[in-house]
Amino acid sequence: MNIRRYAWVIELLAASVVVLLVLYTINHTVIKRDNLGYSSLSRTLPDYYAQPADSVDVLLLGTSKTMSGLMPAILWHEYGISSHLLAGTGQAPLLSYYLLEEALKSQHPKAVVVEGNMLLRINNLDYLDEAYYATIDHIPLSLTKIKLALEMWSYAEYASPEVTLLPFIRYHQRWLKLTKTDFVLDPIYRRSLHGAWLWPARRVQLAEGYMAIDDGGAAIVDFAGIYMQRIADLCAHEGIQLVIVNMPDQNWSTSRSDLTMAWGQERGVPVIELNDSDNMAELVLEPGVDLFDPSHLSKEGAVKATRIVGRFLRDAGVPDRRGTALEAEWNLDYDFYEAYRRVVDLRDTTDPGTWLQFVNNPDYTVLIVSRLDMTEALVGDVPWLLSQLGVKANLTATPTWSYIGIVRGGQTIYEQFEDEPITYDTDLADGRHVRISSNTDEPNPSIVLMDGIHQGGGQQGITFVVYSHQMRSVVDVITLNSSPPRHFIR
Amino acid sequence: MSLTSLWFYVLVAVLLAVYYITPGKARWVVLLIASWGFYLLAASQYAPYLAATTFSTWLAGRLMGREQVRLDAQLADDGERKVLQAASRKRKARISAGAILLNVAVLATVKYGGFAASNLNVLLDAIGRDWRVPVPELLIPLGISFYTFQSLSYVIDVYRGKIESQPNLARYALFVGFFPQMVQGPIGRYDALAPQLLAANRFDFERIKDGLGLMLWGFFKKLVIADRGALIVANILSNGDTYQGLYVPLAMVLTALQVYCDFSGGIDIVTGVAEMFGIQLATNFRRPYLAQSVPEYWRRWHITLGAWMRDYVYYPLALWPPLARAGRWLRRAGLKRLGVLLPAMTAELVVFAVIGIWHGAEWKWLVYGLYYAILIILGLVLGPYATKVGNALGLRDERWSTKALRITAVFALACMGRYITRADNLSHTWELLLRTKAAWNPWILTDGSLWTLAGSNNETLVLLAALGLLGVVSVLQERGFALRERIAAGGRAAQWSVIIVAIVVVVLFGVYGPDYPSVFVYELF
Amino acid sequence: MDKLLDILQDLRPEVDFESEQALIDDGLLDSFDIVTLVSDIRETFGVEVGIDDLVPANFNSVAAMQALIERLERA
Repeated sequence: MNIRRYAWVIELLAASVVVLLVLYTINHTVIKRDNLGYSSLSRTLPDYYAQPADSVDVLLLGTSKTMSGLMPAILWHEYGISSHLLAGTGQAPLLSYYLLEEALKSQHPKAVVVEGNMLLRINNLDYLDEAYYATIDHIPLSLTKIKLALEMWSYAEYASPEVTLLPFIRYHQRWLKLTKTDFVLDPIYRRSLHGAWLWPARRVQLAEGYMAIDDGGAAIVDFAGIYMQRIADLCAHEGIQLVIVNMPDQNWSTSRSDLTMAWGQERGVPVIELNDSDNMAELVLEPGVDLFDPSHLSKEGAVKATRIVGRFLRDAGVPDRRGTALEAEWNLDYDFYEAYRRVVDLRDTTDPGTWLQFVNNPDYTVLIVSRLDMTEALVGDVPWLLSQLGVKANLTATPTWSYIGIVRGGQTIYEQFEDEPITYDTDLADGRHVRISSNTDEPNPSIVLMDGIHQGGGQQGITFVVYSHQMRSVVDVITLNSSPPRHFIR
Repeated sequence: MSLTSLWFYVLVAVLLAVYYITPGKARWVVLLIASWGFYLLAASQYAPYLAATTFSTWLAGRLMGREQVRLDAQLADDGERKVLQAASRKRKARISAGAILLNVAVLATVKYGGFAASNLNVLLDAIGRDWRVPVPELLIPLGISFYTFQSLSYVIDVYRGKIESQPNLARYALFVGFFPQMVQGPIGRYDALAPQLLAANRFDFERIKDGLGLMLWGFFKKLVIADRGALIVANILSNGDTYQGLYVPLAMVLTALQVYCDFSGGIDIVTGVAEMFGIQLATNFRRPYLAQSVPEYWRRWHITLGAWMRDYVYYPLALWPPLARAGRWLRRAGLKRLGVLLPAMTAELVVFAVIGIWHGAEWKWLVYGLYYAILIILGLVLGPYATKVGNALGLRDERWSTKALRITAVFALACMGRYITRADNLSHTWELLLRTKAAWNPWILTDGSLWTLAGSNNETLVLLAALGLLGVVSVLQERGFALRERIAAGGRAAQWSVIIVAIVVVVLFGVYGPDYPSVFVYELF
Repeated sequence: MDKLLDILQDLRPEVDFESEQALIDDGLLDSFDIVTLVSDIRETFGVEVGIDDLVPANFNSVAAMQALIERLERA
């Protein structure tokens, strides 16, 4: 055999490897990642894969109702249960099934909690493709993903298999919008909310006796039923306890409740009906505190709902992992959850006074930049609150217009007040590099950069960039300016 | 299955492996199965049309072949040569006329039936009759304009004795249905294409790389230039109030470039695919926008259609005895020049009218064809005077400035033609002309207004850079610079570097994906 | 030969056909002239000039045309 005759095989293989590497790199550059954030659908799977082997005892699947209503941090804090949410906005059981199949490759959970609502509502894949792909894009190419791609395609025209399997087909146009953040390949913050979304409270009218209404029209949707059955079969096959949870929902009805109960009964699957009278009596949902909207709990309501589900899981034999090797990591995650709760409240604030009070916390370093006369913005108790925060300079003084400051929990770390542009570079206590500039030569008149990545500024007025040391991340940016009515710009 | 679908290329890769593993003698069978497989996958409902055309033209070829055998036997018996030949010719003419009429009738019915009927109804209405012809609503079978012409050329070539007829229906079916050229050509000739299709082409990795390179160049033209250009054109044309004056001719310039990149890009892709199987398809484009005259433009644009028209319509018609007699009569009557021009001019008019409506059953396509017929006839009639004027002005053929002037003029005329084809219909053409006249705004060229048309500066920059590259490559090729050979001479590293860079450029900068449905313009003809 | 020259002279009296060797390549005869010329040849000599014969080489000189006609007459 003449070796030279087959040199082309080696050439072809080598070239294919290079081409695949190039495509892989492009793919990973253009897909949507969220390595600077901590709570988004594109973090769901990366956070899950980052969990130590055999450390997740409970998987939670479902829609936004589950994401916002069940808190892994609370399951840990109250019962020592280690869990992870793989729920997603508008998640169809088809996706839940494949996420479960994918998840079982790296963990051996004791229980899987699935939202009962999915049986009745999600009858196709025709919407929320953005949300679906935000999660799916992070599943590595595998047989599971190929099956998922083919089955999605059979239900939704947009989901042609190459688009599912090669995400760059969807995202390549993002080369226009790539920023430095797209090249942050590892999450900056390694703590995790385990897939939870913390939603602020809204004033929602409770529907009077909503469970009394029998809308009669409820039925199990074929598409959902097929995949819920497959989830049940997979759990049975793997010896995993499947639990159905009906999340508190003002649009729920007795007929829907009965249908899911019957579905569970037929299969010997327990159903936790959080809308029934016993559980409602325990929950005592308060409008303005516990609800985000009629169908979603706020982060406070979620704590109450999680307690009930956790108690059930504990009684069902899910182990308490406190006192094991997992404890230290999970405690840090719980602290992170607490820090994030504060951030949600901070971000939900639109009153300058309240906001400044929330910001006055030793966890936050506040980076301030301003380049205009602030006389009209700094009214009421705002100047006093600023001084409490650590701003010593009198920002209402004219004609001085260039100010930069770094304050933390009432302490002034740095301050400069000039008639000319200022640029200041420094490292924060945890080593993050910061540049604050009011230089007019910059593309934006005033900016805050952190490790070279733009964080805020660019608007006229006084800009506050809030950095949380616990979360290792910028958590809020607001600007106060002098042109009413929008004194407060987020 | 579209040429821009990833799965097409996955299948092509599998097919390549199967093709070269199969023993040489049976390789053509792989191509035949693949060709019919693709057709059934893409448009199974039209398969009977393709089958009918294949069978009828094959049968005509066979019958003529047998007629030839009989004639040869008779001639060997030393009969009346001329008489026998003439009689045989007549029989062959009847056979080929039958096949031609049948296939032209099918093509005309599916493609022009609706158009003819609705226009007849307009006419009936105009003369006050209240009965109507039913308007058939037939869909146009995939590739019919291409495969019909290809198989008709076979029939005529057999008739003319240029080629031997193909005794094997399956082998002939491969010639008619070869999958890469099914959708948008090029229109192949039996003598050039069939031997390659039926041969046991040997595996040649260099050729496969060449084919891959050509495909990528096609994708670059199609996805990076044509599809991005099309977005801008659509933006300008659909926002009539915003974009007036110079924007409209600019959109036409862009349309001209877009259609060229779309069509020639598609041809490059299929030529590259065929090349991987060791098959060289007919050349369909030779940098038409570097032509220095309108006839030259048509010898460089959609070459296989132009050549088909020349061989099977133009010359037969120009040499048609009644026309020749009319010309002679005019010459004798003292109208010498007109007598000479008449047959050719008539043929030119008919050819371009046919080229026009070949694109589609709409009045605008007829007008488009006639636009070029008039340009060419004017050129021939006024040519001698133009040369005199040019000489007086000191324009010398060999000067680059003269060439540039001519190239610009021909390109401008091609862009003018796009007012007809890009418009929805003729009244829309008129509207576009009025919109051009509605504002005087040459400053948009310099004040940055054009930058935003593509959506963002970066997108405009990509389009301009891509067009720049196309321009440089075109000029190099025009000067005989063998780009592909030069790259290959650089060794494997150079070849693969170019291929990989091309992949990156197409993957990142191409316009494709779920948000952009992609079709080739000429698929629709 | 004379009949052919008559046809040519009638078509383009200003051209010196007997000495020109590049009638087509130099542009002395254009495509319109060729069409007329071919139909005249067909009429006068009774031969079928095929499409494939319409190449510059066959029409560049009187001799070439003569050769073409003789070849076609033999066929």
